[in-house]
Amino acid sequence: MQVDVGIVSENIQGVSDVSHIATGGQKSVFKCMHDTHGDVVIKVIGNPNKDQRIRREIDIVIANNFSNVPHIYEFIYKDINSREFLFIIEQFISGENLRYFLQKFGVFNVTDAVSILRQLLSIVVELEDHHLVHRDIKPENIIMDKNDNLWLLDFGIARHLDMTSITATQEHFGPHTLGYAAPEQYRNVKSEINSRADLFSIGVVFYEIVTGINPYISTAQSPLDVIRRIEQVQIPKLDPSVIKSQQLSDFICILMAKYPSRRPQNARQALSWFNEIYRTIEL
Amino acid sequence: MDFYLQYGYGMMEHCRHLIQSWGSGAVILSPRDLEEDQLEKIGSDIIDRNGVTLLDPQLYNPRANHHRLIQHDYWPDEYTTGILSGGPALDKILQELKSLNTKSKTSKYILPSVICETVDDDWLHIQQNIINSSDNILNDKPTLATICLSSDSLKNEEQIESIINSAEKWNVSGYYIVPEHDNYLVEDPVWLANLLMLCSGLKLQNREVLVGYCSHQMLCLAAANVDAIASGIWLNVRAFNRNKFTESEDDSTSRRTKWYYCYQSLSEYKIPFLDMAYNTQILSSLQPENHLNTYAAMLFSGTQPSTTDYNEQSSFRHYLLCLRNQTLVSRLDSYRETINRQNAMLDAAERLIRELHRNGVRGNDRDFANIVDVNKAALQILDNNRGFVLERSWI
Repeated sequence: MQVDVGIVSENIQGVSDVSHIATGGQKSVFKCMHDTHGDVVIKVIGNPNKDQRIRREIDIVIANNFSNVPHIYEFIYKDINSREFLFIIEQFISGENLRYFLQKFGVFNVTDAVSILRQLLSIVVELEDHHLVHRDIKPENIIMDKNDNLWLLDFGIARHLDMTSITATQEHFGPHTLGYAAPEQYRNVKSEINSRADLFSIGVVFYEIVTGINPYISTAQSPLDVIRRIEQVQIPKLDPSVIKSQQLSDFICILMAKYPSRRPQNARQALSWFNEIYRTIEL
Repeated sequence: MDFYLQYGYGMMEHCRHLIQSWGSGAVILSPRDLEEDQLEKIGSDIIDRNGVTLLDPQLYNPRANHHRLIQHDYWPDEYTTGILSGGPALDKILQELKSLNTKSKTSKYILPSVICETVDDDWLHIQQNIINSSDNILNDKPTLATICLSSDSLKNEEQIESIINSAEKWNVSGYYIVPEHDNYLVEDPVWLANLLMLCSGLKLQNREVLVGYCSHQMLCLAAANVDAIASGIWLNVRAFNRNKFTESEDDSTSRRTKWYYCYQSLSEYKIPFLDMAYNTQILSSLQPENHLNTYAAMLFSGTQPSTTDYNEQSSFRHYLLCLRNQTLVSRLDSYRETINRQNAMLDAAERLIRELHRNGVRGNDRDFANIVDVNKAALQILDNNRGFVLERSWI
């Protein structure tokens, strides 16, 4: 949905320096200065009631006040020319996503990659404490700011384990990004989805940032081939000499295990094991 | 790893003797082989000898017709869907089982379950019904959910993972695994690897895992951190066979052969082959250490083994004594030490078997020569898939 910057300045009070950042689906994203909140991002979504997930995302982010997730300051529904729009005003993070860094600078060095891994695990521990599964951890949704802190974006398909699922049980596939989502997630096995699905995605992200390739997507011929590779192909372990640790290589391998029972039992356990391994790596 | 006696036909005196001799121990009682008053009596006898008892309801096939099994009050009068659908019929079974457990002085409840041909929604639903109903009735002792798996279901990795994921939500203290397989010694490494994966996956949920109907081949379950294995005297309590619960199963089948279990080679030998070892002067390599030489000492007294009074009773008790000893020392302080010991034990057995074969000493269908690789392969699969996690979760 392409809308003009005017839609922001005309409908949201106290904003200036509005510039367009991105557009996708029913959403346009703008950056601007807000009188109260300073630098903000404003997401403009047309026909917001068509997708329950939009409201679910807002509720999750506002209710939990996570440390490494941009805050949502306000959300405003507006009727403009008989069409409904939702304006979400959220914290602007000065940085770029990991995809940008991968494309511009290539793979991360081990020190930075390990820092990213530690931060991602910490974020997922926090989500887990709130009974949340993000379900869409991938380089595009991870922003690194100028202090090398990570921020996790887009809770659009996040699942609150205590709330009714939005996805119909009979759906063959659940919401996911293929190549990053765990098998139980894209196969919509709801009873098996918990933070271990996020651990799978973190494993894939780490693999990609140190090798430059997503092992499931890189040579796949089609989406079904990606699934085949996730479920049937033994992905080569990361070279311990490159990542400076056999244990870290093994750890990433178990994060990416096809079956949830073969991954760490939960994010807290994964972080604890990572911390033990971290102490043994000579960076 | 602990060792339990799996009660089978003709084991009453063996149980009394062994528990007395060991100073403690556990017996899984079998309603198929014991009438109600016998259960009560043996339960008391075991407790008096500082042992503990459990009762396997053996409801694997509700249509089973073994005469002793079906005369128990808990056994369904006719084949109904009661056990499958829950409700009053299942409640009645559980009430009667509670009473029988009380009489047998059990320390925990083993919940009934039907054999799982395929792990699907139907079987998982039945399990959930049984567990839900037992919450209200069998709530005065810890409960173990029975997971009885057909040979085919244990060959399917997806199905094993499905059980692990579902079991996490069951409100029980642990699991009683009853794995079916075709032969006494398992020749399929996938079957054994899946059993290791199942047990280790369930154990990682911090619950008790007890595996029933085991032979010495299942010593490898120590690497899966299993709490206990159970075994008995006849093959039908060392390997689960569903047919033993039907009337046509004959308790006296092929029982006259005496075997000697050589724990060092993990193989069993008929007495004529011990004579062969005697003649070729390698009998001493089959001899147990002194503390395990209680029942088989006459075989190594310097005379030809077949001329000694080594009998069926000696054979059974020797097997259980050795297996218990191997079981008790199989689990070490760390996963790595435990799996290394398993592999070392297999290597040593392989070397000894080779030497025995060179001298014509073979264990017929109980020779471990072809099974060593099965166990090694299964342990390797366990290590590849769960080694990292087990190393860090070894409690």
